[in-house]
Amino acid sequence: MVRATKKTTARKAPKKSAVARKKTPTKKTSRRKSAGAPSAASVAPGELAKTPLPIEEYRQRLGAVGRLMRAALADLEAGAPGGDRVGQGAYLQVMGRAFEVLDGLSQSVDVDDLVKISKVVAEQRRAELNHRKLQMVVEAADAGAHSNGDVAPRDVELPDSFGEIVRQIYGATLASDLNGAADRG
Amino acid sequence: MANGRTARQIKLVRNEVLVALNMLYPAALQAEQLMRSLLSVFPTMEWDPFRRDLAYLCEKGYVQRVVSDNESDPKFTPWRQRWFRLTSAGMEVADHVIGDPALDE
Repeated sequence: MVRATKKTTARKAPKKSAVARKKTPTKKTSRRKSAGAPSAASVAPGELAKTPLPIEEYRQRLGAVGRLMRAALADLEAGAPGGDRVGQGAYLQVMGRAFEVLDGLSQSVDVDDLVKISKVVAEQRRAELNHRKLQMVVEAADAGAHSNGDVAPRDVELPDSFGEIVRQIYGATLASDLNGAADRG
Repeated sequence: MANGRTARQIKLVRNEVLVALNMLYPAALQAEQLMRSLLSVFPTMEWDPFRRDLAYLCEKGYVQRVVSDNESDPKFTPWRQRWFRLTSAGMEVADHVIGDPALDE
């Protein structure tokens, strides 16, 4: 009996080594793999970029741009089109510039663009504030609270510096044009 | 064949407009930005056929114009500066949830 057990154990030993041999690929199998599908290390970086179709590449790029824009700027969206449009202009401008830069249409945002965008955002913010004030007045008037005179804000006119800002952006203001026309006769 | 373009080319461009806007949804893009972006895929694309495609997609209800509050009179805003975004119907076509024989390749 002792001998028999020794024999069985002796027979099992080579099986284990055979399994172990299967796990490690032989030279032949590794050669076949490298011939069929090249590994990433054997392909030059330039070749990798050419392999996907242009449309697929384009879609991947746009997908990444879209994800970035949604993550960074989605909260700024003014709402559904056709709804309240106040603030939408600035949002669209910022989105547009972000897209151009991310999609590689322009390399960077230059100072002129930054100035333009910040002016648009500032003007938009002012318009939003005035819009809200006007809404408050209308709501107060509807509620009949305007007779008390202490609920609704009365100063809904544009600030004094607004004309100067408009002049800086557009080169002229409606007020100066009207005054000029009145002076001329 | 329309304006020197084959039906396949027309479908490709229209599909890609929808896919591009779908990738950026719910953001809107200016027509010029969209075309400049698509030029990387269709280098021979020209403005007039692209504008026709955009108008077609708008009439189909797949793309919607977004009027910014900066536009004093939306009718006079040049097409290149108009903003467009995908509608819910356009999103369904772009995602192949519903099919459109005029756009299926």
